Amino acid sequence: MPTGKNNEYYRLLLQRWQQRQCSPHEAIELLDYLCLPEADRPLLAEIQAAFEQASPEGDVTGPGERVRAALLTHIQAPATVVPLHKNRKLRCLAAAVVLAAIAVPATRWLHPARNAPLAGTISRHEHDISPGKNKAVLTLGNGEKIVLDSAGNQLPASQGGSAIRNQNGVLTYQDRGDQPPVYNTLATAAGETYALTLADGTRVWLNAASSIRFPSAFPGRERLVELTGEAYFEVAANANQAFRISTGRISIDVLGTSLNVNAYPAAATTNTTLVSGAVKVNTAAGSLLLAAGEQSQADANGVQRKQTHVHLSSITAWKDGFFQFENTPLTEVLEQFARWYNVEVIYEGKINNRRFFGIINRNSSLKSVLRMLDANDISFTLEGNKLIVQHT
Amino acid sequence: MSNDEAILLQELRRGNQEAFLAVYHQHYPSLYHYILRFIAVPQLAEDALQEVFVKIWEVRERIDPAQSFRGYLYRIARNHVFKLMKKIAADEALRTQVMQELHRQTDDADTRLLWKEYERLLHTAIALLPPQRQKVFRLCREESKSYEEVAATLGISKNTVKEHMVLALKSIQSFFYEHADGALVLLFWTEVLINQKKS
Repeated sequence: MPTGKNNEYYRLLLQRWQQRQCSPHEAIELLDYLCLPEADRPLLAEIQAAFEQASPEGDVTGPGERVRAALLTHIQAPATVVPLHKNRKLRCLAAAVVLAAIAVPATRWLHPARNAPLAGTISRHEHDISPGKNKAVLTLGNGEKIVLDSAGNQLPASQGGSAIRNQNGVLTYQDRGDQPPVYNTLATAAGETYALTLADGTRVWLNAASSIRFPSAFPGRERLVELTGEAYFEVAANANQAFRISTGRISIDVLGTSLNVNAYPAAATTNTTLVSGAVKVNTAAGSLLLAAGEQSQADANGVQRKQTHVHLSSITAWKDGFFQFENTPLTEVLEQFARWYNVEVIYEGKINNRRFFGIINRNSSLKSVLRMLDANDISFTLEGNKLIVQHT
Repeated sequence: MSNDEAILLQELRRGNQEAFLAVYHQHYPSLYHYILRFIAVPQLAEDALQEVFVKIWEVRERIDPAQSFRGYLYRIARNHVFKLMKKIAADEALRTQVMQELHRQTDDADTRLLWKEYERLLHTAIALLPPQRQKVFRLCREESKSYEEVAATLGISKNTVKEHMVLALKSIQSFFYEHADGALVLLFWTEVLINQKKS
């Protein structure tokens, strides 16, 4: 998990830069940092310090002579001078595209090629907000609540006929068929995510601020789960036992495999997106059959609209650890950030609801994510857990 | 400080061109290297060297012969280098240029490998673009042309150029996303520049 990086960290990066030891990621990180006003003081100090070691090496007469000739022209007729390599036009950043960062394998990050490990020098002075993490609360059949996180709280060995196991952010139920099932609930808060394998082998990824209620085993004719918020399902095939997801507003009969359900209560529509297989989405107002790549958008009255051209990977990117935006309005981008970083977004002034493209690692800290927006001329302040959007 | 230097600086203050060139001659090799360490691209470093000395010439009357000239020179150079680095950071085309140069100069085997992989993916991604889009992308990115210039060169509208750039970056981005196997993912952040509608 990235921690807040202090000035000393970036000074070290600039040293690595001078020695040509930066990885692509580090180089971009340093360039991104340079765009921030707070970079000025530490980096100026570093550039200043480096002059003590300035010493010639190799032959520099070529550039030296060229510059000398240009200077001579300049001092003799200053009005006519043009820099040597003129016309390298600097285009305005706001209109351009910003190359934000390259993520490198974690192992490389933890063991930078040569220098002293950078990680040891990072402190947490700056106000930043860490990305969300694998955490959830499991409510057992008897109402007992257990926090699932890296602390590794004790779980009972079984729940209503299933053995349960909790490992690396995945809670797994294994049907032993020896007890009647009980209902369990797995819930995430904002800034949390968790994965679940149900007793039938169905895999569920639970996004932030979401919960799923499910039986510990599926002995009956139907497999029924209840969802609020967002989850991605890979439903285990079983022709004899229908799988049904209910969100209150809609209920989905899953006839096969993978789908994303976005059922945040505050959202205008509940969206069911089918990645593969077939599903039927039922509401009070009727039913809609979806094919792979299609999406049902159900409003509060249960009226469904079918979208046939949805960008699948942007809808499911969250389960693979990314934000992906494809022509996504700013308000929705920020809504996703709010849920993942557990911040409240407050708009001041007029919102220009521009649309964005982008892929961002969900492991990024809020600050580094905001920096990307900042580069797009959107200004923010972060006060505690309030993200105040000043102008867009 | 030597007496000679003090005399040279006095002359420089008075606008003696010979003295200026002598001062230049004395300092440029180490100053050029100093700039190059930060700016990486020789051409840009050469420009910066020139600009620093142009500045020295402009402020020659304010030079204090009693103070270390080297310190003074490097303060000006420092500010210049810093401003230029900020410019590079904020400019897509300059960034690409500098990143490529850093790659060429990387002296660490492991890091080189990483750069290589990055470059390989980037080149493959660019090569996969449709011909016209590729042309637009190369003109904008590698030759630092403005959208207007590219539009004029190719005889297309500025909006079409923008559209090509947005789509080019999108496909490069998704190419990285698909082919980097999660290990090396290029993150782009861009906004739609064309046909924007408030939703």
